[in-house]
Amino acid sequence: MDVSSWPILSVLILLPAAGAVFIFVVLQQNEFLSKLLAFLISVETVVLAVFLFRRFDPADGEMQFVEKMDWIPEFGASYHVGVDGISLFMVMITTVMVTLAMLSSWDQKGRGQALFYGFLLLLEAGLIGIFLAMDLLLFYVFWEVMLIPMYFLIGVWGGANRRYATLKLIIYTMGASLLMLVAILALYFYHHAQVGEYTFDITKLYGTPIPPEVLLPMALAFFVAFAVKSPLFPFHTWLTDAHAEAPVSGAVDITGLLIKTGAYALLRFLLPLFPEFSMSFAPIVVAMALIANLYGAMLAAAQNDLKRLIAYASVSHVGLVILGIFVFNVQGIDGAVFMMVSIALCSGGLFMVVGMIYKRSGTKDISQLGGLWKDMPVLAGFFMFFVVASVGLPGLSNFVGEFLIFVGAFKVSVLYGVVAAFVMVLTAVYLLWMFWRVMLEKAPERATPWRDLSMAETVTLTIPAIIVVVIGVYPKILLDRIEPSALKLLGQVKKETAQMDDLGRWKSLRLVERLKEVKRDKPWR
Amino acid sequence: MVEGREIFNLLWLVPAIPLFGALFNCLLGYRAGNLVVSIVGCGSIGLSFLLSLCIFRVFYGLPVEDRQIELCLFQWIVSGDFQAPLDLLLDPLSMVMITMVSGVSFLIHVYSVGYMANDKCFARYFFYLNLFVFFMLTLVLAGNFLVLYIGWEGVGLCSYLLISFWYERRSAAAAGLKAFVVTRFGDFFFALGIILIFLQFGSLHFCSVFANPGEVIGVSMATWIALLIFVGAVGKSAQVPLHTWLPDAMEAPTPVSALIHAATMVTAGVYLVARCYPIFELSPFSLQVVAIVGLLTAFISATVALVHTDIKKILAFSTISQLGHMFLALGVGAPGAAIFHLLTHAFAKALLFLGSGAVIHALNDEMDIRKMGGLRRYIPATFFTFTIGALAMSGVPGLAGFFSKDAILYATFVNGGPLMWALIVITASMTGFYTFRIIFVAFFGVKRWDVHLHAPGKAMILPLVLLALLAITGGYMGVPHVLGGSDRISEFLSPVFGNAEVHGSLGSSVEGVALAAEEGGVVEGEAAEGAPQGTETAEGIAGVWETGIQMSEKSLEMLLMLVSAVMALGGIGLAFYFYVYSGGRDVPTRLSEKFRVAYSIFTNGWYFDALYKAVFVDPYMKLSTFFLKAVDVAVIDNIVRGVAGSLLSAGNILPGLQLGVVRWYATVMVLGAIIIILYI
Repeated sequence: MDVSSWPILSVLILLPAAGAVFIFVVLQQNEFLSKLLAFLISVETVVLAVFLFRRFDPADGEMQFVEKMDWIPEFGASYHVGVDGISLFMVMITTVMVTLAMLSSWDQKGRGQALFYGFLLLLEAGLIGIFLAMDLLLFYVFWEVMLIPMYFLIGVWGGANRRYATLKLIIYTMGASLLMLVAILALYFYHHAQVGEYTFDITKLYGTPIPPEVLLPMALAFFVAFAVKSPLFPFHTWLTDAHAEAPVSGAVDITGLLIKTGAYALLRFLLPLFPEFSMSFAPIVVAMALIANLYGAMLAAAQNDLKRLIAYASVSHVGLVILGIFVFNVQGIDGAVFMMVSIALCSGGLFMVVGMIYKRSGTKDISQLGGLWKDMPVLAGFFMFFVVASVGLPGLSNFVGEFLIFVGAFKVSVLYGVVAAFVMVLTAVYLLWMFWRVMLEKAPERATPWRDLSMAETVTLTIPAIIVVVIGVYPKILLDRIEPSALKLLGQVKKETAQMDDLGRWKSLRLVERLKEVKRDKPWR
Repeated sequence: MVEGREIFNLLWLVPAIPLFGALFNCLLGYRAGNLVVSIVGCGSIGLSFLLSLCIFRVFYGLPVEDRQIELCLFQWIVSGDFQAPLDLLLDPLSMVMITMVSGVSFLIHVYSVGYMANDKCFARYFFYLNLFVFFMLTLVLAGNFLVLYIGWEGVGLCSYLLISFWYERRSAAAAGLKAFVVTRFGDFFFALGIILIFLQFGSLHFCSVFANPGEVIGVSMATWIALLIFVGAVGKSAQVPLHTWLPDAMEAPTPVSALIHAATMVTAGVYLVARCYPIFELSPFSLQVVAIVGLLTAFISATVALVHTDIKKILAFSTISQLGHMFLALGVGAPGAAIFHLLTHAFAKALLFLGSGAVIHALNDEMDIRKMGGLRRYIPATFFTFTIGALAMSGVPGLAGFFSKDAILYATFVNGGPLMWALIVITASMTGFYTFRIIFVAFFGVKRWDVHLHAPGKAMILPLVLLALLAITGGYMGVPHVLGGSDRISEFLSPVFGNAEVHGSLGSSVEGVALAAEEGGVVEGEAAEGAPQGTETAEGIAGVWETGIQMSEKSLEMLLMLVSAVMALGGIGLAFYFYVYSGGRDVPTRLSEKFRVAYSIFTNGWYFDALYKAVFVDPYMKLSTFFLKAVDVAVIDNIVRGVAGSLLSAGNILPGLQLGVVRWYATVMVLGAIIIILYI
């Protein structure tokens, strides 16, 4: 089939969106049919994503399957989507995780289940849109659209404290993205002023010369929006609340919260749009990332709520991802993208297990659990597996991402590498201690033993487990395709910064700049 | 049938067969029943062992210069200039290791069938054990650092799982966590070392890194890399100061202690340093560190073993001590001796652990030697094999431990100086003492137990007998030249270690004597305090120093051998005097009262655990709780709430926004989106 004749990317976005609309409008009352429809659509998107993967040319670092048409020509906004090695895997993991989300909440009871599935589909459309958009306005629309299902999914089906959590989520992320909207518009007008064309197309906006005095606030606005979404320390407190109050099945945790749109957007937008900012701001970002990395791991150790614990674990992992992005070398970026995929799977597996524990025990409080192994050896086995994967056992997926990020960090500075790598000790502490408190020792007396995993639950957990093993043993599937895009991105950043050196930079960051140059001149040898 | 060199293409099967066994026992073991599980469990290791033997045969037939076979399976992690394929390397060192690992594992698997027969989690046990063997074989067969790291972390995981095997016991859960975290701390340094090697050499491939490291890195960089790797080895091989996890690891079922915490996994650190020897050789400082850490570990843990009463913990401290011997050998430039001792120790210690397992099994999980006594009449087969293991362990002439320990002592004397030698000889006599203390207390004397005795079955006795045979004969692969042997093991390993041979330079020992003469008094004092047999030792050493200078190398070696044999026998004799001959006079109690300080230091394991709890564990937990309460909730969240609150109150000022900001914003946004879409 000719690719150009068949807009696969649009289908990937529109199919779940259409499904969501259909459920909202037609199937509202029919719980079973909407479940079935939603599930079939999510499976279909997985198939489409696999198809995309097979047609994807691994050697090409450019955008592929590009579709472009006018949207609002008067504004210069276009419907412009494309996929490269970085977004390919984000799309794939999104489709997989949404399918798992549907499976894991299959026997969830309560009001309006039909709508629940509708919102999940809408969320999927928003996520895929974010990963494919090549137009800033389009990207912004998807970025905000995603919040609507998030708001309802947590606000309606969430835990006891859900109002607080949703409020925090919305204010945090919307506040930050409003800043970004302003920056997008500023960029838009500066581009017009310099080039004479109104456009939101990022390929055209790359390299727009921006007066140094406004560059910093603009870039910061983008950075903060993405950092909040990622979330990067110290913008992380909404995430732990959102995870804690999200529906216990884990469906939202693994789709809306674990798929790291923020970190992706840093790579796709901040780095190429503001390369000189990114480079000179890097030491500060790296410091934040390293703090997040260790701080998240430390706080996870002090947690008594299972979901909060895993949320802090993911704060810690995101710290590593952002570190990988801001060391500006191929291992760092390869590792970061790989890690984003891996976090979704490993932490996602943990969230799903926690959901299954909750279904039986009615609690996420660690102090009320303990000794679950005896009744539920299969569940314990999966729990152990995902714990071990998150700890970074070589041969499973997290290790590949982690290790590449360590290598990338070490290349830039010994300090970065050493501090980042120390997390492997802390991760082992909080995860294994959690496992001990939940699974080991003697269980308190219970009238009826909790039943072990059902067949459906086993399948739900087996899927991510298999992927974790496959990409851990043979990461080349991903790395081969990520690398050309990562190299292209790096080339872009390095080229731009080389030019900007002649123009001079803003004063506030001179010092940092100089410090960094001193460091770069003295590689560790 | 595969003939000739083609058999090397099957090398990957050596670790893969146990992996298949593990997968089977994991996925189907629950339904399969104990018989099938044990056939798969033991059979897979047995096959792997047979394959190793076949490979050994072909390998031994190769000319010496061809004894390095690489097998690249596929590219694993490739990113930019970073490349780590999944490749295997078969050279004399890994050949010896896979044969030992698969052989000893096989025997222990067979033993486990008897030992674990009544356990509900039989399949799970064999799943872990097979998985462990897979990782261990991967570790020793690895062709680059990252593949080695797979095995390295994998054995750590299996060790954790098996220590916590009886998960309902709180102590088992705690011990597992401790073992994992402490070794992980070492692994952190090892990982840094690996990255540093990559950045320096641009490769992680053993053959290219070790080809000529001196041309790529200088002494200081070699020291950094060597020390980072060494910390990893210290963690895994339970050396001071990261040794505290191993005694606790005795929570694992006893066959596991024999396999993982005596014969194989804990020796991985020794293997690693031996493997990286070309880098260590570049840095004399790092070798000194290795030697000193090994020596201190050997001594400190031997003192603890003297006073412990738990049979498995005595053996655990003894293992730590023997691993210290191996590191000492590495540090004084005798990697061949280290590997030789690794092998003989594996046989002897696995035998001792399995024997103790038989005792524990017989007495319904009793581990306190004070509650045993007189067992030699009830379980004679165990008694005989255990005694053989103890003799081999103590270094009694003619058995396995003697030859390897002697090689280490000789190298220590020649390259480390008489002071180090003196300390290690004292340790050697302590080894004899504490091993035979077990025998005299548990197997002799009066019966101090009152349970129905479970005599070990055939599945348990057979491995004991086979290991006993190995413990007797294992030493003859390395009979030194002075005794008319040909030292085949170091000859076989020589291509790996290149010129790292013990150079019998008497000059260094003469210098050492002068130094030691000054400190002789100190040694004597310490020795007298540390162990009752000290005075005798110090005299013996003084004699050797005086005469040693004038003697030719050969007779020196003979004399050293004699001294170590006498010391070992002295230790055994002392144990006999204390626990059998002295009868009712109860010498040990009186001694422990007389040297109360030393006794309490020894019984508390030199207070390492208490120190770590006070310095690391408690502060860390306090700090993370503090961060959670004081920083995350009190500072960051309050700032956010303040900002949000002011926004909300600002919103309320505006008319028509009483719905709340969120809903208002959402509505506007949806409307806006619809308008934009409609606009198209």
